[in-house]
Formats: sequence, structure tokens, C-alpha cells
Amino acid sequence: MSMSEILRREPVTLSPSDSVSRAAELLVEEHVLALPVVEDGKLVGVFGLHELVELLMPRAVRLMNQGLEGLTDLDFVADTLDEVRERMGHVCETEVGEHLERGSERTPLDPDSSFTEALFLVYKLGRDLPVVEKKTGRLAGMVSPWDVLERIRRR
Amino acid sequence: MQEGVTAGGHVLLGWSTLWVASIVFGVTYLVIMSEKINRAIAALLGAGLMILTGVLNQEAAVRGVDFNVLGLLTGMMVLVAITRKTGVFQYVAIWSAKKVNARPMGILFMLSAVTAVFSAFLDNVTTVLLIVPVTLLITEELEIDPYPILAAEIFSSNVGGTATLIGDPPNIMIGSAANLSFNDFLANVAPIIPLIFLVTVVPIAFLWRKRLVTTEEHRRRVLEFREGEAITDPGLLKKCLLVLALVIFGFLFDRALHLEPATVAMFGAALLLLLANVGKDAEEQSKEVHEAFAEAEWVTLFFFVGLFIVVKGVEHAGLLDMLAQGVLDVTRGNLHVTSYAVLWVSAIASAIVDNIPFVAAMIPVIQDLGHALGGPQNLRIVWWSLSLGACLGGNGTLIGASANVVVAGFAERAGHPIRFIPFLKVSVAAMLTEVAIANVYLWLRYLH
Repeated sequence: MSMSEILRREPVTLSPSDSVSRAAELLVEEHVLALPVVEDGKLVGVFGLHELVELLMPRAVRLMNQGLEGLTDLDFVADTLDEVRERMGHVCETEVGEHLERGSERTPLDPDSSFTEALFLVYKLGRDLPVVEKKTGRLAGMVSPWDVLERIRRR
Repeated sequence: MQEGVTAGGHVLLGWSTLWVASIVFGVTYLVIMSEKINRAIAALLGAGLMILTGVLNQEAAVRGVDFNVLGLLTGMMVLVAITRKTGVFQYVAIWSAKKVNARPMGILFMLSAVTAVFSAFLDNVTTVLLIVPVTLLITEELEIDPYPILAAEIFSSNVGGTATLIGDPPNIMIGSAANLSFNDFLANVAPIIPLIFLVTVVPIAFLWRKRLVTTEEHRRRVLEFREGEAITDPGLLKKCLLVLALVIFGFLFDRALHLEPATVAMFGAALLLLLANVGKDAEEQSKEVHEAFAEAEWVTLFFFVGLFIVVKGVEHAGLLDMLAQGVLDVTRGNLHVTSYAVLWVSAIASAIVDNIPFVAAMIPVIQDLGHALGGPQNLRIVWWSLSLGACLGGNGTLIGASANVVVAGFAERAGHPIRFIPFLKVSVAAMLTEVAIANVYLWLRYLH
């Protein structure tokens, strides 16, 4: 069995120039964990709940992913909900393209990938995965963890 | 003919040992300076070439490696890796910021002082990796530009690191090679450090005072930080503090106890690993110990191994004797001239290139000067000059020390880039002032 069976073709996509607020809106509306970011039909990255939440944290925390060590937890910071909303306000005006993780456009899934590979990636990343046509780099569709689970349950 | 050198002084293709060793040394140092290839790779390749070309055999090469330096560095790295997890470093940083009522100017002084004190006992890069995130968090809450504070922290890490035997790798190397103890550094280098710290940080605070302004509302946010919550594991913290106290005690009394610093640090590391893991099952112990060792900076450690062998190669080949003779020809064996020359040359060299390879090559040269300068007692003054010059020189440019580069990297990613040239205007002034003070200190204390 290959990806093409469980692939959701023509998924909702983002463009790099879309605002973060638009992305947040779509994530909630579509009830997905990640959306593909596409330019001229080609996948340029993935923007999801993880990226959004990361943007809502203090900058210092965001740097932790990049080798900074000092913060072991944030229990001592007592930001109010309003302060987080204020941060959200700043972030919302920025473009999705500014926040794409380098390398997130390289997905190992293509329409011929095995089901086990999809299962493995769902286990590793735990979110919706883009499937890209190998030769053209065009987005073929998305596979969500739910799609995978549903396919296993359906006899 | 020294032991371990190929018979007859000829190596590959019949070239002289001196030439081959000098070329390998020169190329290795050039590659390290160019930063095109990771410094550990460059040093290890250079070390391998010293052996492959027959300048050294493996046995002689291994004898060139100063395991006292490696043991001390590794032991301290493991101690810090475990202590870091307790959150104590965040605690101290936040506590110090609140002590000055979260006023930006006060925070600049406090975080600089904390950086200097931590750097005196920990690796400078480790210190800034611990202090920069808290700094960015605080400046973000205060909505002020972190630049002045980050710059002050860069300077403070290099100044603080100068103070003790374990503060900066050059001191570790000098202490080990010249048999100078923790107390020797405390008595001879540390006394001038508080003055150098103040002379560095006060002008910075004054220069950038306009950027250090915030509102009552923003200060309140920082004052609401609950630093007690930063401590993640109070039980482990107690164990860490106990072992760190023992290690400092061991350093202070290493001579009386007939111990080398590496023994103290490694034993401390082993003891803390024991205390942190006692009562856990085998699998958990294995995971924890693996993590603690994995956090040692292996790139630095392997860099040292390679470097020691490369330097041993040119030392064996006689190049460093020739350099020492060259120094003597210039200074005519005058202690004043030699001390000041070593201080200033080390400072300027360390501002431009990494101070570790520079000091590695300087140590055997200075050792050779011993007789001409009138014995070990006089030579000690030259060691202090080398220590002060090489450590403080790191403040000369943004690339003068690894800690500077690390802070600049994170400042950039946090959206507040520190640029080479604007920083240079301040850093050169800071470094020249610091080294001038060190020079006056050496004169007043030893050469007067």
C-alpha cells in the first residue's frame, strides 16, 4: 500500500506571504496540526501549531532550540494571558515565510512511499505530513495522523 | 637528539625534521585561524601529520599531551553539566536582577558581575550560554535593547576568566606547564581583576545609558519573576553545592594535599555522578551518566589533544628553541622588556586569533627563557604577563574569544545583532585600558 491511497489531495495551503494570523485562523478552521506552505505549486515549508506556539514564547526560549542552554524551565516567569496575547498581536502581523524552519520543505514522503514510512513519520513528528512528487517538487497532498489511523482501522 | 624524534633529524623524503615540523605547524595554525575547517579537525590532522611524517613517534606524541589540562577541563565540564540542570544559574541571574529593583543600569552591573564570577570558575563559553538566555528574557520583559548588557557580559566573561587557574583555558595550560597552583593565580592575577572589571563596565554603562531606560510597568514584570521556581531539583542542588565546595577546597589546598587540579576536578565529577545517581536503577544511571558525559565539549577537548601534539612536534624539532632565542635577542634578557612584551604581544595576538593555540605555542618558548631571565622566580612574572595578556586580549575584538562569538551569534538570532566594526570601537578601547592597567600592576607589584 502506498501514500496515494490515503493522501488528501488539494489540501488547504498557505503562501509564504500569508500572515501568521491567517495561518492561525486556518489551523483552527481546518482542525489540522500543520499546513503546507506552497509557492508556485511547490512546497517551501510547513507551518503548524508547533511553529505558532513557539512564536508565542519569549525570544530567549525560541533560541533554546538553537543551542542556548540556560533556561531549564519557565516556572518563574509569571506572564499574564494579556501579555501572551500582546505577543500574539505582534506576531500575527508577520508573514508565515519568516518563520519556516530550514529544511522543513524537504519531506521524505512521496506518493510512492510505503505506509510504514508514513507510520514512522507520524510517530516521529506527530502531525500532518506533506507528500511531494519527487521529480517536480510539487505538493501532491497531505497525510494526517488521523488518515493513517483510519486506514488501519478500516478493513 | 631528543627522545622520540626520528634518528638523524631527517624525516620524510630526507627533509630536515625542523622544516617538516615547522611546515606542519604553520599550516595547521593557518587553517585554525582561517576557521574554514573546524579547529578540532585541523588540530588532529596536524597532530597526525607530525606522526606520519616521522617528526614524532606515537609515544612521544602522547607524552606531549597535557592530561592535567584535559582532566581539569573534562572534570569541570561534567560538574557544570550536572549542576546546570538544577536551575541554580537562572536563579542567581534573576535574583541579582531583582536585587537592583530591575533597573536596567543595575541589571547591567549585576549580570556583568555574575558573569565575571561564574567565568572565574567555569568555562567562559559555558557561562555565557547560561547567562545570555536569562539576559534576553529580562531585556524582553523590560522592552530594552539587550546590546549594552550583552556587550558588558562579553567583556566580563573574559575579565572574570582571567582571575583564576580554572577560569580560562590559557590559565589552565600555564598553571599545568609552569606548576603554578590555584592559589598562585589567586594571589598574583586575581587581585587586579576587580579594578579591571570596574574600569571596563562603568564606561559601558555610561556610554549606552540612554538605551538602558524602561518603565515602571515593565520593571514590575521582572520583579514578578519568582526565582525560587527556577530551582528544578533542590535535592540535586544540595549535592552539587556540596561537591563544588569540596572541589574549590581541593583547589585551594592542592599543594598541601599533594594533588594536581585534574585529580580534584575529575574526582569531584565522579563524586557528583555518584551522589546524583545513587539509588537509581541501572538503566536510568546509564542514561544520566551518558548525558553528563555527552555534555562535555568534545570539540574543545580534541582540539587540545591535537594542538598539544602539534606543539610538541615543533618543540622537538627545535623551532621553539629558536623562537626563544629570537625573543632573547630582542629583549636582551631584560625582565622588564620581556614581561611587557609578552603582555602586549599576547593581548594583541589573542584579540585576533584564538588564545588557546597562541598560548600552547608560547609556553615552551617562555620555558626556554628561564635561565636567561634569572631563574624560575623571575619567570613567574612572565607567566603572569602571558596569562593577563592572553585572557584580556580576548576583549579586543568580537572574534577574540569563543564566548564573544557565541554571544554575538545568539544576539543576531534574537534580532539584536552585534556587528564587528561598531563593537571594535568599544572593544579595542576596553582591551587597551585593561592591558594598560595590567601593565601598571605588573610594574608596581613585581618590577618596581
